[in-house]
Amino acid sequence: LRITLHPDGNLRAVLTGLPPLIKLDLPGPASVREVLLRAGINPLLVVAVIRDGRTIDKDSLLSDGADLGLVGPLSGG
Amino acid sequence: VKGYAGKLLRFDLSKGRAQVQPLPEELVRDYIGGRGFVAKLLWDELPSGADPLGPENLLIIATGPLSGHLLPASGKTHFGAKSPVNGGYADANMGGHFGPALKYAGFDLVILTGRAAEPSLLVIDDGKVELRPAGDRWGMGALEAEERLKDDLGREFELLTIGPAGERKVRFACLSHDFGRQAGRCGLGAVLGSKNLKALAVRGTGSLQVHDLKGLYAKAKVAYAKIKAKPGFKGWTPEGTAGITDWVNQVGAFPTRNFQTSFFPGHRAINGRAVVERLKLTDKGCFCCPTPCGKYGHTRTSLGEAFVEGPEYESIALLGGNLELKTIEEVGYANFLCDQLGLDTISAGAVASFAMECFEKGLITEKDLGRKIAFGSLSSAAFLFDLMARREGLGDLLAEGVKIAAERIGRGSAGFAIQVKGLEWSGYECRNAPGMMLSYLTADVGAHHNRSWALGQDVAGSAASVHDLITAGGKGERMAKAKVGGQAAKVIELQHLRPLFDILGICRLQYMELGFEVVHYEDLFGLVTGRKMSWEELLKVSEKVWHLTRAFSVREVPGFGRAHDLPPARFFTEPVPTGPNQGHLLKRAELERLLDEYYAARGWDENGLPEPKTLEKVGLEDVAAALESA
Repeated sequence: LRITLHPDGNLRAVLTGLPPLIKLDLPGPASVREVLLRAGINPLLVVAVIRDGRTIDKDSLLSDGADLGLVGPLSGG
Repeated sequence: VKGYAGKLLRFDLSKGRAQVQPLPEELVRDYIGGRGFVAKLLWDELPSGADPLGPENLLIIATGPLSGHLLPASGKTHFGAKSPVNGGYADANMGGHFGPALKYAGFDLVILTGRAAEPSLLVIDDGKVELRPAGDRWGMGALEAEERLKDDLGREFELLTIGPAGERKVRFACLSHDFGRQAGRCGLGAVLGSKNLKALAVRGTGSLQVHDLKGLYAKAKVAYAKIKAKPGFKGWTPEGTAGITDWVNQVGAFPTRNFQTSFFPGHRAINGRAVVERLKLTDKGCFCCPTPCGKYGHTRTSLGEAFVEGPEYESIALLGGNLELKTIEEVGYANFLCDQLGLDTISAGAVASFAMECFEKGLITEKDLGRKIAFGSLSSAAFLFDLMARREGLGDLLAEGVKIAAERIGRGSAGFAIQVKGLEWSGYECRNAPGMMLSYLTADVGAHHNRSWALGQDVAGSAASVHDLITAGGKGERMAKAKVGGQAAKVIELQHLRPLFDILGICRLQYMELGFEVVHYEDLFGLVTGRKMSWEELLKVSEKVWHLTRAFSVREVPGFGRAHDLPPARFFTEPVPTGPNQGHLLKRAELERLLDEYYAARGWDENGLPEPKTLEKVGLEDVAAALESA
């Protein structure tokens, strides 16, 4: 299972040192939550996960080649 | 300098007289715009000791150099006055289209003084300024008045209105614009009401000069494309700020039941998805915004139905969790009532929840109110909003805000009057969030989140480690006790960064929420104005303004200092009873340590007063001298 992660600026602001692009190879199947943990990211710090322009649940199962945007903590206005 | 309209309008409402002046060059050079203009003019021109609700107070309307230009999210307008909440520094910021219209009418700045002899409307029609009677609009809701005035004047006029709350000088009355945008905080609607001004109307058909038009258009085009390519663009925009409701609950920071706890079990019924699926009719954006966070919709409840913009996150927090309203329709309707009455939804929700807790504890009674009130009851909330806005019965006391109300009610109620410096606390509970707590304690206007928002850093510090999560099979709902100490530097950094957007006259959400890089703002500023200033140099201006607003409160509020930077006792005596932060609180000694670190890092003394050498270092020698001689 090859997964690509794009952490946004907010996530990288709270997890200093996190690169803007992360590629992972792991045995499938895997949920978003499991992929985040493998990448060293606490799922609690990810406010939203975006796939193909839509938000998906952190318990969603991922398929090979999934490309995910990760939105970090952001303030409400 | 290019990018500005170039003129300042002073209007003395007592005399009905306008005076137009060139925008002072040194003001532009040293304070840039928006919040910078407000802070400097209040310091220089407000008669010391002025009554915030008297004719001598100034109401300042200030745009920034980027306001009104064709670049992303340039629709912001800043407002300021001596605070009716606490007598110190006050400001509020608003999106929409008012600021751009003002600049197209020829004015970067408006300073209102005096008091009109009768309820009035100030019309700025390009260069022509006229005070007109508006007695027939007095008493109208803020939204209704906007609609009627557009009928009278023309749909192309941009309106700023107040509701009945502003007319009656309720200390958390807001300024309203564009049928749902507000300069909500600090009671600036009461200042406009104290001046007998129901509304301002602006029509601007002029244009603005920029330093490099071709370069600006090219850069703005790139900026829009980059914002739309950000990972969060498609995830954040559909729900807007309401989209973080679930997350704030997951990390145990959601105001619930007058901040008794920090987790609302019913949060999924009032979250961003509920807004989109149950209320929203269309997105609604401000001037030139690529990420329209406004969600204009329709709500239907047992009390009635209404069109309403929002509710956005802060209104969901204070009207939803804090009043325990159960559905997004109820929250939307409560939001509409506040908008129409001209009440800040944050403070109105906080005051209503304070009253409900007082009622539960027997501190106010059915005899005082003429009926029962309870958490979870929309009719109770509606009743209280109306009572406050009209200052009827006990509403007259509640209209003073929770701090003054608690001082009069007594019997321990100050401990759960959730405020700092008299300003009601906005949408983040902080008993396990020391950075966010420090942000609230030291915000210049009182307990407001928009100066520094450090909750993300707090959560990163107290959430379980990834190693522990893997060991526990991915389960990690409980938060560890946060480490207290070391937060001051980040809070100070944010206190310079976030208000800088209010100086420039541009929305910060594209940077804060989507991560649009600050280097683009530096470029846009240069292309508009022709001034070469790095982001670091711009931040230095924001830092100077921070010290200036503190100095203003020192000058205006007798005995101002450390005691004004503390939260109510609830936050250091009552552990959070439920949710992810159950059992946590910040002890009084920990709060004092946070303040010690902050004051030291700021160059303020142990009482929180700016040291003369600190003021001199940032270019405020005159301010240092004035405070020393006072």
